[in-house]
Amino acid sequence: MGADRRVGLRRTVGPLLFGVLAWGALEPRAEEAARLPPPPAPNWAFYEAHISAWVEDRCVECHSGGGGALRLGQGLDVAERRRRDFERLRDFVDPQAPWDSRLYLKILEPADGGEPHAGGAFLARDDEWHDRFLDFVAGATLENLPPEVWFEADEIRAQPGDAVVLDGRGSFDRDRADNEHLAYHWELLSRPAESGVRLSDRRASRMEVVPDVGGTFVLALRVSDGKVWSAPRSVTIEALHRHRQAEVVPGAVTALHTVEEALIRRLRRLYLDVLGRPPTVKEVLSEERGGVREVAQSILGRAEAGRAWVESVAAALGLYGESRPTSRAARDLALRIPAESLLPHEVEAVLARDPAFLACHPPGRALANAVAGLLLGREPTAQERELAARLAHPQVAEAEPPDAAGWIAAVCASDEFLLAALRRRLARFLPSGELDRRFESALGALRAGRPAFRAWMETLLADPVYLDRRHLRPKDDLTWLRSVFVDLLERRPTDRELVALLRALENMPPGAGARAALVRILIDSGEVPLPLLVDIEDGPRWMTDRFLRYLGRRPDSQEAQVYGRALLHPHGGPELVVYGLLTGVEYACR
Amino acid sequence: MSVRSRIACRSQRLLVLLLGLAWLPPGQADPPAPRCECLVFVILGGGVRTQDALDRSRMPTLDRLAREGTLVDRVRSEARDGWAAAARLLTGADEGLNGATRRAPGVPTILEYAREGLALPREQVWFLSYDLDSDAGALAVSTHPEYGPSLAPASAPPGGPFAGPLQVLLERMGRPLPMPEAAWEPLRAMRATSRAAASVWIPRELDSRPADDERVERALLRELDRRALLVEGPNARDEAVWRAARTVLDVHTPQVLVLRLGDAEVASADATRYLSVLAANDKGLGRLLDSVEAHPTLRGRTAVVVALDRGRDERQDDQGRLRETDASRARREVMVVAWGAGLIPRRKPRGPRALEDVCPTLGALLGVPTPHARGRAWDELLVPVPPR
Repeated sequence: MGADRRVGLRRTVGPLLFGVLAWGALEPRAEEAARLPPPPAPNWAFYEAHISAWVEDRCVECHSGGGGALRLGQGLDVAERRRRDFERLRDFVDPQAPWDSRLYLKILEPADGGEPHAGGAFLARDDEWHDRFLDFVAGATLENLPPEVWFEADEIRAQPGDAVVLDGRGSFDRDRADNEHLAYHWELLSRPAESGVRLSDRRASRMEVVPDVGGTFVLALRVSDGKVWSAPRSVTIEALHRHRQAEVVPGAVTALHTVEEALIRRLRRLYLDVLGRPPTVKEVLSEERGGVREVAQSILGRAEAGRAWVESVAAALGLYGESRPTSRAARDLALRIPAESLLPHEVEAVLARDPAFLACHPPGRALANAVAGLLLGREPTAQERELAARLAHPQVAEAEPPDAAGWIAAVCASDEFLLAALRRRLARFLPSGELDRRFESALGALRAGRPAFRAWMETLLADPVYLDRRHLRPKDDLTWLRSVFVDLLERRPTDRELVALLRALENMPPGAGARAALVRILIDSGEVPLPLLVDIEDGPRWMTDRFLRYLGRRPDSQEAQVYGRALLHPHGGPELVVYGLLTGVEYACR
Repeated sequence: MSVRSRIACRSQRLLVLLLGLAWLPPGQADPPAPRCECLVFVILGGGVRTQDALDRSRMPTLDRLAREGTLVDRVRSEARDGWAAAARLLTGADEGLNGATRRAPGVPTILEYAREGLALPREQVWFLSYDLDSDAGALAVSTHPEYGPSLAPASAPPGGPFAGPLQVLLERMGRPLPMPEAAWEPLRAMRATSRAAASVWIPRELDSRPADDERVERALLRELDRRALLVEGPNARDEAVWRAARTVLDVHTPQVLVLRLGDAEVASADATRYLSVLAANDKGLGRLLDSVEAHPTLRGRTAVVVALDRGRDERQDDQGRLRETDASRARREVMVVAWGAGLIPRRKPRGPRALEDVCPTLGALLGVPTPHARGRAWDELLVPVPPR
């Protein structure tokens, strides 16, 4: 079977942010789906017969000395060494996505999508050994090669209302030339919070999906050859709203002027802190009637709140793009947060214990800094540095070699981690002085259990002091990015966009310069429905509307003059006014 | 004929005296330059002969640096190819030392030494290479167990440090339009008014200097806007490095910036084009120096070191190519030009010189130890400063 076909397009879905699920509003999995057996894992007999000699020839020399995170060649005799090698290698295989397994990517040529490997690349896609190795990570046995899912494209762009047909009929069984005996099973893994999309026939070979709202939809297909079910393969539909001419009246203003300014600011604050994005104009107008406490309760209970929290923690831990979390626990986390009212240390521990954390911060100095800095909020101690160094270069003679995953688990179980995680969570809502003042009461609620902490959070969000502008803090990069997308395009950034944006900001110095350049890209993209100057009938009213939209207040007299001049300036206009508002110091907070 | 007999008359003697004064140890003639706070190290690679690099008509900027600073010529280069030569320049050691893999050197590079010795964050130390889309980025990070990836410098993909990661977004949304210069004035006014309105509650973290923000914004827009797609001239890959370097200088104010150029390798196919590449790179160097001079904190505190990686044959072959085949001095010996803060102008290091000397010299200039380098630091070139 052609290697290109097996590896090519699926590699493009790899870099999607935070796991392909995007931790969106997950479709409650059908009972039937839960009954499907897991995808096949690497098989010992297949390894011994086909792979072990290859590994011993190429990998053991470096990895017997502990090169990287993999340790091979341990054991007294050949049989034991092979068995141990197999068990260690198995840890680097992801049965849910074998083609994205670290083991496979590390030895693949970078030109074919492989990852950097100190020992170099050993396989190209057209090598004779490539298919056999891929068979191994995909769970082949001596009797059967598992089937594989095949789509024409892993990522599809559409507009809400478009019918998207996903065709799984290209899937194949590696043992047989025809695919008539294959069985299919579809799952809707993720959809936007406000979507009602459901799957019609989960067993069909083709699936039609009509996105009802803008956002990311992720579906997965598994196929069976009657012996095993394949690993799932995902396809992402990005439904992007386009502002059609009929929907947007050039120069029109919204009904925000009918809403109290303080209420707009309060809603903006709640949405930004909990959902990681501002409300749309429509949401402000619909939330207007609710009480503060009710709105806080409602927002905290949304799936989107879980998604935003997980995204923030993952970004802070460096777990995005190629380092996205891979465990089932991490994938389910976004739904569990609102459903089970998880506590801060519980949420962070799931991501810290994900294999991606160790892959992103490998043993050595990087791990010491990550464990101390990212998990415990302090500098590493001398003992921690020493332990991390031992993990990077374990001594063969050591009676009890240290275990990196065990160390992280122990850290996550510590009281120091609990306190640090709570402090990080509260820092999203409170400035440092106020956080110190309220920390003990928050800790008391947390120790009393999940319902008590949830109630404490609801009380905090309804407290007028929380909304005091003196307690405003600058938005973090993730929140700021979502803000400009929602305020300008009325949608969240897609996962792919978010990865690119975070990567671009990663190396940039703090300050407004880099963010301003990003706003410029959006404004000049042609996707922001901005009017021409001649379409604006009432300039001051239009400007007031924009101030209310982006800052939750009206301009003062000085601002009205200066912004008015910019609106009429020969090199100014509506675009420059919006650019000025979104790159100003106030937007960085509100 | 002896020198004395050639200086026959008094006026000639006076001229010689004046010329000699110009070569006095400048520690006495000129005030010593201040400590180097920013190092720009340019590897003018691809195989360049010293005589071509110092051609005043084609390379006015480099010639100026050589005249105002120090020209170290007759530097031995015995590396087998460009990668190996760059590895020697960056590590101060033979590229084949134990622990080296196919692309990563086994001995720490000056970039790792700088990060370790000065405790610099990643974004303060940059490595920009003309072929960073291949695995040449590995050149900047050794496999040494005490250094390695945790001390890796920042690097930029070919599209630039900011635009590179944004490629997915730019393909989908397009690049922004260039902003007219006249639009900055109303923009500044809007921002200043909003800042004044928020002054009573503005968080301390946002209390940055608007001029700094604007410098960064302009640099990034220059990298992003639609004109950035137009890369003209014979040195397209090198030009991308020069552009990225200017962005990095404006945006990050780095302490160490290493550029590796390589388009001169076209000489093996076409010597005329090779000379055009050199001239274009000299212009790139000039623009970079302009950026340094215009930068409020880098002006007067920056050292620029330009090194060739290897030479070329003495003569072109009959097909108009300059290859790397003969054993001439033009092929085996290269030059290094050092100019700016922390360097004493017009000094010559004593004794034999080699590519491996550059790394320890840069380390001494920055005030960081380079314990694994095998070369000899050219201390004679450096302004003596107390250790940091």
